[in-house]
Amino acid sequence: MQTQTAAHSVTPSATPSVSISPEPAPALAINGLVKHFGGKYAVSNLDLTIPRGEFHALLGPNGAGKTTTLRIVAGLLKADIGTAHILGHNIATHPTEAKRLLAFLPDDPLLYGKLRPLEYLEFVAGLWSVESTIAAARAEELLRWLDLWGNTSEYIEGFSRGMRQKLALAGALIHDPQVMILDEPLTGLDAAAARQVKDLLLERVKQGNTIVLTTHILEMAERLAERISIIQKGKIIAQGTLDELRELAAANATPGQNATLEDVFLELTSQRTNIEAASRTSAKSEGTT
Amino acid sequence: MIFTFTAATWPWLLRHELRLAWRNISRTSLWLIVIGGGLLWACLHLVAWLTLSNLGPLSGAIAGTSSAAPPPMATLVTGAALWFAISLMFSQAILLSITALFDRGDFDLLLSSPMPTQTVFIVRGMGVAISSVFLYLLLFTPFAHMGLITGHAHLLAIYPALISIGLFVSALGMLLTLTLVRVLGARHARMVGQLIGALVGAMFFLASQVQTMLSTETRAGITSTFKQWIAVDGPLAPDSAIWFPLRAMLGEWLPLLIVMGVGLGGFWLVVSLTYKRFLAGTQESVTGQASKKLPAVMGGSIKFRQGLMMNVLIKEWKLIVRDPNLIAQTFLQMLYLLPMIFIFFRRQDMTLLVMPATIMLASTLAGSLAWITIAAEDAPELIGVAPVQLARIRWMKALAAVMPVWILVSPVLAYLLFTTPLYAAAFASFIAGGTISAGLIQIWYPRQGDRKNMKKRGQGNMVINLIEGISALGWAGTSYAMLAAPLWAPLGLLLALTGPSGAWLLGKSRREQGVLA
Repeated sequence: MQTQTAAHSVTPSATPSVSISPEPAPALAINGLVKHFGGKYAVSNLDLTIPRGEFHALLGPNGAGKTTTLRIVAGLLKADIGTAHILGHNIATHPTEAKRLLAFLPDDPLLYGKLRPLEYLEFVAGLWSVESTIAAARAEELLRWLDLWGNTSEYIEGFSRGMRQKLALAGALIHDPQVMILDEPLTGLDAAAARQVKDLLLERVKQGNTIVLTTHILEMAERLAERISIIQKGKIIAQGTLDELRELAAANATPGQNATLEDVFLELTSQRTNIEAASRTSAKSEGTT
Repeated sequence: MIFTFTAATWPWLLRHELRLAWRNISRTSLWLIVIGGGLLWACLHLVAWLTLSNLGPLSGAIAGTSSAAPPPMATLVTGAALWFAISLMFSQAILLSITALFDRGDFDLLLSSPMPTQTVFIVRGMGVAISSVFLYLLLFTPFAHMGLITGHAHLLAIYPALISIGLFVSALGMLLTLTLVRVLGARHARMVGQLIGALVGAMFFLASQVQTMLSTETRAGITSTFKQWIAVDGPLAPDSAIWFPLRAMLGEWLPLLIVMGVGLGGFWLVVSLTYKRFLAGTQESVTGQASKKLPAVMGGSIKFRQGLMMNVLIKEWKLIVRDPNLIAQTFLQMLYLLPMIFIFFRRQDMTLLVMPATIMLASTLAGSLAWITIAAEDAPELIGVAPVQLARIRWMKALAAVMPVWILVSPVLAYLLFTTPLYAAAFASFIAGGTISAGLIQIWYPRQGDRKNMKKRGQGNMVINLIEGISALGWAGTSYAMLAAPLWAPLGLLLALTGPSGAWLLGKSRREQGVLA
């Protein structure tokens, strides 16, 4: 049985109850989420609330439970215990309403190799019941914006990893979602494409949409995210703006006012200690040889 | 004992290839192969011993103690069986060549290494040859071993003869694949190669079944022609060159030398003359140069279809139509099934034969297509996050699978409508029953597959595959019973309904877990 420990939350709001709150429902509200596979807990009593219009980064070491959490939120996995609400709609009990407002981009999106980009977007628009003329115009706009317009006559099977990622992103945007959940959205993208995607995401947030992303590129989270949650062993261990996280990490140990997110992340996930210990061991062994 | 080879030599690379092939077999299959194959091999030794001990008219010729040629009919039967095996070997070689050329993801590594391209090509060819010939070595070598015991030591020629044949058909398979790449480009070559491979494999079987559909007089005519051909000086006489592979395996020196010369020489020629083409073909397939390009879409000119149903149907149909390999595999199942159905319902009049046969074929085809559309969904996560109930999409996908089948059988329905309207009504009901049941099985027992593994879908869940078969047979049987023995019809119907109801019961927990597909 897992023991529950409180997260180092640096935000005043903890986990508002969606049902009794008089204010508009947050973009994402996760309460007491638990998911285990076999005997191993992937998510362990996780609470997370993300207000509307926020760019939120979910960081954590490999196997921390980020992807499992996002897959539960997207309705691809069922939680053992706990709830996830998208703009007030419970994903487990009202999946259709919740999914209508949501876009989920997995880290390795599977596309239809034998379809062409426009056919793919047409199908996705059909799934979300987007009006066909609006969808067609939006598809053209997105493909042009993502530099895929010149590839509309090719099958997706001939696309590079980066082109697939961009097309999947276009598919995620075709229904103009209010909440976007992105699992490693920059995987496989070159510098120019990564910049394009980052700009596009920032533009979405400016328009009042909410973005939740996971990434291993901490520089991206540092530059884009308004707030950051750090997840470890299936729990949120810290949450706040970068400055708030710096303060929290400084209270624990080394990182100072100019510490990077990488320093903060390593400190909070206790990986710095491990890395330094490993470096010391390595230096020692080199010295002896 | 572990053999060690000098790195970057052909034996070293060959060992690597064989290790990969070996590890591609799942653990369960491996045990089945080891135990089943071992038992089969032991039984074949027994069969070989019994055969070689009681050769009768062939013994003199085989033992080499008689100068008389083996009887024509015996030569025809064994020689034709060997050619059948060679055709299957060739079919296998084509398919393996395509895999070796297109599907293996290690070319970048191998071709960027300092190892000569020719070595890589030789080893790929040897890998194809070994994989193609392995089964036949298993089947034929017991005769070589028992030959040693029973005084027919020259049957050891089976080893060099069979290996030479394997090398030759592999060389042919690779040559055909490379020629197709040159003529059609990588993308089409792959598809056409797979089609040819599948059809060559099916050809002998289908030809052997043709006689079941012929009248007694026609069959008598064919037999008489064959008797003339196999007589002395006929084109299929026992001393004809067409039987060289058989005679080589029986240990005749001249045919053996010729078969070995042709096999080894052919393999060497293909390898040394075509490895440059192999390199070009590989690069083409890896870089996708052969992909089809259509004119670019004009801005503002695109139109999207409205509505979920139409989008799902069109998407599924496009994905099926654009994958000829899938179509070939699906229809090949039908081809294999056709003669069996004809044998089963043979002595009946045409309506009695056509109705159940068509229902059986239609149900099976609907099952395959429903597996493709429902289980082998390429992007299950996309479907999972869409704001539509999964079950609703599955129903649409099932409809996408059964509609083409309905269109395909409509000529039969039209024929019955004009000849026997009552039969037409029954036929329409049973076709609907059979195809819808096939769709329901996929809906109610959700599972996830990969359309690339369409051929292996039969090796998946045995119970559900059995249920599919029983249901199709049930609907066909019911229609047959309605026409020929009405009292048995309820039993047939019960059998037919076992399919969907079994899938419903067995798939309950899977549906509740929300298995994506």
